[in-house]
Amino acid sequence: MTKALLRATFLATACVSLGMLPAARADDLVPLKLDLPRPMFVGTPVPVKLPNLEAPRAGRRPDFMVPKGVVNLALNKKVTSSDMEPVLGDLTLITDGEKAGDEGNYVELGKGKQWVQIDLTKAYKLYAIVVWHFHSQARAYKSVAVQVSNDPDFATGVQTLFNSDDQNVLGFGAGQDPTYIETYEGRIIDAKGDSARYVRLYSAGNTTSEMNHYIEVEVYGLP
Amino acid sequence: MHTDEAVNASILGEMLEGRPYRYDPVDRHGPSLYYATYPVVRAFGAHSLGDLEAWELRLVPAVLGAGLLGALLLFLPAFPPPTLLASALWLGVGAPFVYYGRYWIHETLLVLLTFLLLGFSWRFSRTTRTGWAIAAGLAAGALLATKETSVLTLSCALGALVLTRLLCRRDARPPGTSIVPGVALGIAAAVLASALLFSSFGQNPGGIGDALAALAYATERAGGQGHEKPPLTYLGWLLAPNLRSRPFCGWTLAAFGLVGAWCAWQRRRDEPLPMFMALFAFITLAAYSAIPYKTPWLLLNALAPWALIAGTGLNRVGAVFAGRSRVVLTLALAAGVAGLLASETWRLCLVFPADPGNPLAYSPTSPDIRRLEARAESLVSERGALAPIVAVVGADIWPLPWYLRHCPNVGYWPELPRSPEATVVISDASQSERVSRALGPGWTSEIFGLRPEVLAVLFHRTAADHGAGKRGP
Repeated sequence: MTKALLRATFLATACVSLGMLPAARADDLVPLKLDLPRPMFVGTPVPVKLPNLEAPRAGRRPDFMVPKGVVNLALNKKVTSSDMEPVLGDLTLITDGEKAGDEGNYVELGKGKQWVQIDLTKAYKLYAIVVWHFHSQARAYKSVAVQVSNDPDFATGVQTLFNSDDQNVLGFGAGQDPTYIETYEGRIIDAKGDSARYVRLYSAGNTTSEMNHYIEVEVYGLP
Repeated sequence: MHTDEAVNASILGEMLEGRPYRYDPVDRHGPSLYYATYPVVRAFGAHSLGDLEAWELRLVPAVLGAGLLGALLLFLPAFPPPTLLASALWLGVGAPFVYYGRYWIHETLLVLLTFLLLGFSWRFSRTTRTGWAIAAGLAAGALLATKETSVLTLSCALGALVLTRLLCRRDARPPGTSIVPGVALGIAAAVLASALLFSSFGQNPGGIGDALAALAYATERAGGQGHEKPPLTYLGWLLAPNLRSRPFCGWTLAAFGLVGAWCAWQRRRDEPLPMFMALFAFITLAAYSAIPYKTPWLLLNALAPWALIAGTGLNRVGAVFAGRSRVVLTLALAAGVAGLLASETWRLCLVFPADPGNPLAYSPTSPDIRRLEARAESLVSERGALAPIVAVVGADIWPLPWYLRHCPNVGYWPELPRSPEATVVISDASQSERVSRALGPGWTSEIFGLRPEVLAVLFHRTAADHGAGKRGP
């Protein structure tokens, strides 16, 4: 008797609840209003001038291992670009061996997606590519990608060695490599021993401006 | 939007949301700009910070900058029409005026009110009509309620007036008239106007006392507070070629201004106003150069009166030519100057407005912030929570509050909070490592630029971890 009564009560409650549920969804839900802290007001920001931002890493950069006898194959090699009339500097600065970050040592390419390409004159086995975009200021470059190929047009046989373009701005697919803050150490990119004649580096602006910069690119391989 | 504009917008946003304006003497400027903008944005239907658009705010300094050209008419006939037209070249086309004429900060209003004060005062000095004195008083009151540097402006004007009297020894007053009643009325009008503004039209009487207290703070601030620069900085900004342009505005102002100053000296006994204006510009530049605190928009205070002197100089150079060719050659000279000014303005104001190589771009907001804004908005919308929260962590996060104004639930914490649960966390770079550790695994980070050297890290849950109930901040 008691069990029957309990069962009837449960069924009645369930029916009433189910009947009310749509009404509760429609009428009772309201956007959650939150009282979140407001920003504290500040004065005119002081222009920050860091001497040279160290990489956010404890200690020195781990050694990057390459075969004995590798040399910088890019030194004084011809550079072409999507922007053949740079805003500042000229393309020869990219392979002139000078890596100082001050004015006159970097080339500035136009806004948005741009690339530079180094012709190594013949195919080599490549082990590392090191790039310095700009390191007199703490900044990160957007959509950085590095590719190698034996095709000067990069239409065939293209190997992508680095891709931080997580938004797929360049159209090579969403990159998985991290965006990094530029430092005087440059960024070492593993070339994995691929054989190629041409090296192409992409970027699409940076965290400070929409322009693209290169101080130096070194390509290490066996001559 | 520059950080200063974003802070101003947040203050105006609070007014729009119904919180009465209260003057804050510590690191804030006066209320004039907010009261000048409030009716404009209300007319566009704004009721909160989220309703505001940059162009609505910037319409105000643009109109005030145009008003500066209209204010030149007050100086007729001491500066004849050709001189005023030539001066308008620098005020209307010169890169500093155009650049800051679209910044929603206090400087353009300050310069306009200075011109109005000088123009009305000069007219009063010639006629002793009380109407001009009251108008000058109202301009002075509004000037005081615009920015603490107005005290410096008034001091420089007073110094220039004393020197002009000594050098020119000429009284333009009609004989037998007294300026005392007019001056008394003008001072009363100035006190009344500034008291009304600082007290939020009577809603905050303590604002008047705060305005006086602000002077002590402003004096301390003049010491630099991180903005200290050497005395010749302003001349460098004005005259030294930079990465982005030749400084045609500075060069032409200097060249024609020197000619104009010489003319003002020669004519000082016939018409003392040009001499006063040259001295006022020079003393203002010297005073701002002597103060360690320097930002480039402060230059406008010296450049605006100097533009009148440069206009005088340009017409004087044109007068070297004789006969009918004089007008044609003067116009050609003016056109040449306008072309040079326009080329510099084009590059500094339109091509490289936020570039670190632009001397007018002082701690500019990086264009990258628009990407951060779009990313945060898309993450908030795609995660589809009922009330997605954006947690902003850190002290150096401006001007993010402007760019996140459309997100309904944004909170700002100096340190990472334990709750509430956030969909997106944005941290200033200095705290990013700590924030990353606290968030734990399952979060992806992206770097964005707020200003040169100032980076922010945006954290969001990786798609696989979304909804997994992981602990948020």
